[in-house]
Amino acid sequence: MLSIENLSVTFKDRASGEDIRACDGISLNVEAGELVGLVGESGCGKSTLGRTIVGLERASAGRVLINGVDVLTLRGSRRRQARLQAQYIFQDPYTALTPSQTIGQAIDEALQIAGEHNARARMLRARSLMEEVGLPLDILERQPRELSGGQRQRVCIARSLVVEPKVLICDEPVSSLDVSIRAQIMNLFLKLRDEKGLAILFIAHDLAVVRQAASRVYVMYLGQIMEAGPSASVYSQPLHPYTQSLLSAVPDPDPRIERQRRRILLEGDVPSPARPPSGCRFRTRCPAAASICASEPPVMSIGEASAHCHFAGTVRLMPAA
Amino acid sequence: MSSSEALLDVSNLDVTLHTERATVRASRAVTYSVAAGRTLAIVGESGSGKTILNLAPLGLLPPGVTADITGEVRFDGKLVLGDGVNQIASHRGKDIGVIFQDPLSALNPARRIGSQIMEVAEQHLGMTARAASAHAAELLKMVGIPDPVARLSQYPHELSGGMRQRVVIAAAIAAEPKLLIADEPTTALDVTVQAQIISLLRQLQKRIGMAIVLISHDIGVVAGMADAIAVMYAGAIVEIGSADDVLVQPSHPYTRGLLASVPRLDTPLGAPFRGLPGLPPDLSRPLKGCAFEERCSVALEACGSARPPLQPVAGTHAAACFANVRAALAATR
Repeated sequence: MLSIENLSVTFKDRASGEDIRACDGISLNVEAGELVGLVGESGCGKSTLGRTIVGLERASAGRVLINGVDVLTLRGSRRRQARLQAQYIFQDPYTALTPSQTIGQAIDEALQIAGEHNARARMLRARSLMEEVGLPLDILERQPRELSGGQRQRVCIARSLVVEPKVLICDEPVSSLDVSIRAQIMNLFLKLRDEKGLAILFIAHDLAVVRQAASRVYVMYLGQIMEAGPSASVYSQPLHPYTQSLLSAVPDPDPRIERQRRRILLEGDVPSPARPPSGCRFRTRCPAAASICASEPPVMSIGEASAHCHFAGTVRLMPAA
Repeated sequence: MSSSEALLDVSNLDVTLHTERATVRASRAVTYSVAAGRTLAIVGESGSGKTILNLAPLGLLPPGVTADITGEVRFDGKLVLGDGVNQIASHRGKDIGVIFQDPLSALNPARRIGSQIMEVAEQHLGMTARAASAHAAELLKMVGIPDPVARLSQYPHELSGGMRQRVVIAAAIAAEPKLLIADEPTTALDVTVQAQIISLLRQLQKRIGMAIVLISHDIGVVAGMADAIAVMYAGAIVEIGSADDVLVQPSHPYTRGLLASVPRLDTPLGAPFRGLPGLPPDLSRPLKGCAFEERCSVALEACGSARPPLQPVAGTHAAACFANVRAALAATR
């Protein structure tokens, strides 16, 4: 349903004039009725990738296929139509809504833009959308500030469903919500995946949330995919040293486990995407880096689970104290 | 949990906030203590009062907000709040260091990192500029910032989020405080950086023996740092005890629900997410009974009309729940 091929996104840094390659040759795909995770730390390019898919950023190379059509090659109204099939859900549902509009007005406006000219049909549809995302009808009369964070995110999801999209790009959609509320929204995404057959690309830094929801996961670092595969194997047998260190950093809510816990602590910071390291991008922080890692870029290993590493699957980082 | 060796002893702290729009009972009868070299975590979700409770007595309130504070706070054996005394704020920066959630807003963007740390040392340790500069470089080294002398002349925006939070920590411990209040110290950070910062705070605590009050919503971070935990809901402590008591044998239905909501790396793949139904109550309206009653699956009739007090579960472990008390009574019969 959604297929990204060799996508690159380059920005020009205003201050230095340098080219910053936020995404560098990314390929990934999401089937209908599938929720796929895209994880990585801040600055790795995962949000840029999501924004590029829906046309909020411009790709410098590659293809974005939605339902088999490369939306980057389309122009004008055909492009807009194709683009509507992929909707974006933001992290902060408050800034995504107009403060002075009631929820009903916001949904109505979206329906008008989508081409529904009959006011009564719009009202009926707005009501059924509320039901679909689990909100009471009186929410339509209220303004965003009167709603809780969870309710606002439901409204944003309802609004994205107005155009009956095939693909949802969710960018940290539960990070700003309280833990006890997150479950309600996550279960709503799972319901939409199952009942509407939506293809959902779920961008997040919370590895445990992604593991539970996603059938497959992509791990990104400094503009590239480091590892990809079914959640079951990526989380239990990570092939890439970066994935191994990410997983080792996830804290456990059991203090007895935490006291025994040894972690792989990475040294230093993520390098600037304007000047990525030669060879493997992770090598400057990789405890297992060898000389080949500086001289040659690794190729993606082939398999159900695959990794962008010269030593994919043969390296197992040992946690320090 | 009050004891004579406590470095910080808070009892019956009530904070009522006044804004232009509303009056909010942010915390109610909160009592806790923490000893030197130990970490108490105050856990809660947004609006639970966990941050206001700790920051209001220090005079740290958002603009346009005033607070009525009653109760008693003893710090290092001295009464610093209550009985007409209000001196906590004068300890801030010296005996009490504070780390805020967002490292960028905690630093002055227009001033060099070095001068922001040196200021603390000059003001509270009476150091000369030269000694303070050496001290600042030493601190940056201690918090794991490479090339510390060069960093002194940099501005906050030149550093990554993780490095900035290290600078904030360096400034907070510059006067070697006895108490560090850390408000969501890793929330803005990535998980690998979070692991570095937690490990750093633990090492610093060992080295200078400070007590830490960790304010957090993140159960994983709390499990890795806390000796004791207080769980807050709607402005009150609903459960308190050792980290093992609260996280391994949670007693209050809210704590149990909160823990069940945390996805873990060993949750079955594809399992539905577990959370709590409903929303926390609006604290600008009066509450008759238990604040958690509406969301609680084991609520009794009494829960709607009276507020359950904190009652011992075992040892220092206590919870504020009528259903618990009934279950305990039934068990002893």
